[in-house]
Amino acid sequence: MTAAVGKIDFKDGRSLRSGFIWHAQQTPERPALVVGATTLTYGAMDRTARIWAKAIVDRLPRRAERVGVFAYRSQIAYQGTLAALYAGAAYVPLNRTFPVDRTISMAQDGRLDAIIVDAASLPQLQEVLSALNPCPMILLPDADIWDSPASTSVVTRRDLETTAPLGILPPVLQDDLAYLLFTSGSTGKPKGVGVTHSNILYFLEIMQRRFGIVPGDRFSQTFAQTFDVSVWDLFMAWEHGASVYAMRQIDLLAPTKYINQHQLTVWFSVPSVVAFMRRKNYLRPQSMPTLRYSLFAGEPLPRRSAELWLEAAPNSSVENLYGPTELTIVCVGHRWDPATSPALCLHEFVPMGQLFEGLCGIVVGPDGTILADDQEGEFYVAGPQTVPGYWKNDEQTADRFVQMLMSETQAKRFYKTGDRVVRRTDGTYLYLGRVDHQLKVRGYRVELSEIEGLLCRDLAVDCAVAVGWPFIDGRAEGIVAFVAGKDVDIQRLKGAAQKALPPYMVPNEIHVLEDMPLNANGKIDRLVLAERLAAA
Amino acid sequence: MGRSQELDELIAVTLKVPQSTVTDALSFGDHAAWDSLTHIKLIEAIEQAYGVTISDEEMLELSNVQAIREFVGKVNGE
Repeated sequence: MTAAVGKIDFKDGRSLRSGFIWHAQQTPERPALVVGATTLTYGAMDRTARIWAKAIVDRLPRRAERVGVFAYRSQIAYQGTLAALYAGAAYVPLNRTFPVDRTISMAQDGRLDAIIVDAASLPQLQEVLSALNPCPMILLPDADIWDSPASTSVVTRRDLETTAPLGILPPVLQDDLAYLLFTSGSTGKPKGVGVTHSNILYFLEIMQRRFGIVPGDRFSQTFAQTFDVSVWDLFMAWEHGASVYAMRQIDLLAPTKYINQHQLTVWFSVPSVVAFMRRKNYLRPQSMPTLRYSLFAGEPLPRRSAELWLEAAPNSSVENLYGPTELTIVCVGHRWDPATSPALCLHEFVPMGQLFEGLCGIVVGPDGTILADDQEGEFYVAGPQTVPGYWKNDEQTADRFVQMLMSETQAKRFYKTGDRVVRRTDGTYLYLGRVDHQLKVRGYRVELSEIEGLLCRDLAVDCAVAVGWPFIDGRAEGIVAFVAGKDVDIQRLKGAAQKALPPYMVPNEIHVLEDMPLNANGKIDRLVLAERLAAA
Repeated sequence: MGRSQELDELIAVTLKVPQSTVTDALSFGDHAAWDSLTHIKLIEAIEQAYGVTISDEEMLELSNVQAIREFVGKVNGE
């Protein structure tokens, strides 16, 4: 695999904000964002971002490096993201639906120069600030007064009303960070991942070659901004003059109405949205005709979800996208084809697909050697989407980002994904599970996703998770499965498992859950399931 | 009144909140307890208790206690 294509020219000083600025100049009247009943145009958002950026730039003795956006699904959340970039800073999303301690840890690690806060997050602000030293300046665009606890600079709505827009924006270099996000670390403490302008611009360019976004496109915005796929929602749209539709949490349970009402053309969500709709029979054939792309990422996409969604949105291309934050949003994709895709499915899941052009992927065995096609191993990716490393964490960076010798003269820097994959000879990657989800049960190697795939074949099952249990001396003695669905027949499931799986893979117990516990990003929370077993 | 009492109890039990907090104004997202997952549970509990099928559009409307009370009132032919 060589990285021959995809060189992107940064000589014109482009950065993540450039697309928005260009469209604000060319077509200021076009809609950029719809939140609830409010539509904001490119021109209006550009002006506001320049005012907020001016307020930040004027009050800081140095350039703003990182600006927190403590706002959730509000106008200020989106406007604040832009304003941070306009001020020449990386944006750092904070989320009031997270525990305050987590927000504090993120704000401390991020060493923020300023925080933009919406009204709904304001009640948590005092507690967050009391843990920060020095205290960043605070921007409160929808509050007139606030009793500042610390001797920090506070900018309120009134101050902003008399602030002039910033004319010339502080320059941004391609290796500067565009955003800093925190992913859950295995230690329980969130790890910062800084993504550069160069990383994200490469990604946006590759995505445009694949999708050909036009100004008339209308994007769903389903992901929380603390989840990096949200960057696609905003900046893939704004890069090309399209508009973003910020959905309420409740609309995600049954998005058909919202999609039709706003005639969305691009849908992007976690697969669990489809699982909810399947469970309630809300996915009706032909019910979402305006969609031209239906994208899913965040966890494996069950084959039946892809099939049913395609029936519901028949004019759309259904795509499964894969990628960790460390590889800039997504880096592998599969376009579902009802004729050819079913044969490629493994364990009833849609394949991860082909690596994006210009990236280099290898599959590595336990001894560190690069494996040939059709062999199972850990997935490593090098190239322009591989981020510089973890934020202020050299130890973790050295652990996960490694140099590999590709020939006698050439080394590349890879990110170790921790995902187990196999690459077919046609270049299609298939997902096997997390490296740490592969277990040895009584000495046998067990792929948990194989058990999950089998359970999902049962029509009553929407979702299945298998875990090793119990553990004795750190080794799994057996398998326990959790399934979510309606009218699940456990005996039937056990029978199917016994027929298809070797005895050591057959779950000793199958628990039916009303719903799977999800983490903050809407992915199944395996830790919670393991904790339930431990507590029982 | 009996019926409404029963509904309040169902809402309180499903959301795991004290029954005294079940007022017309209580809405989806107000409370950490009323999130996407509990909303689905609540809708399914209402379907079961009152023998109705709630469509996707209705489910989105039933995002506060007032709307749920009115809906159940109609189901009961009040």
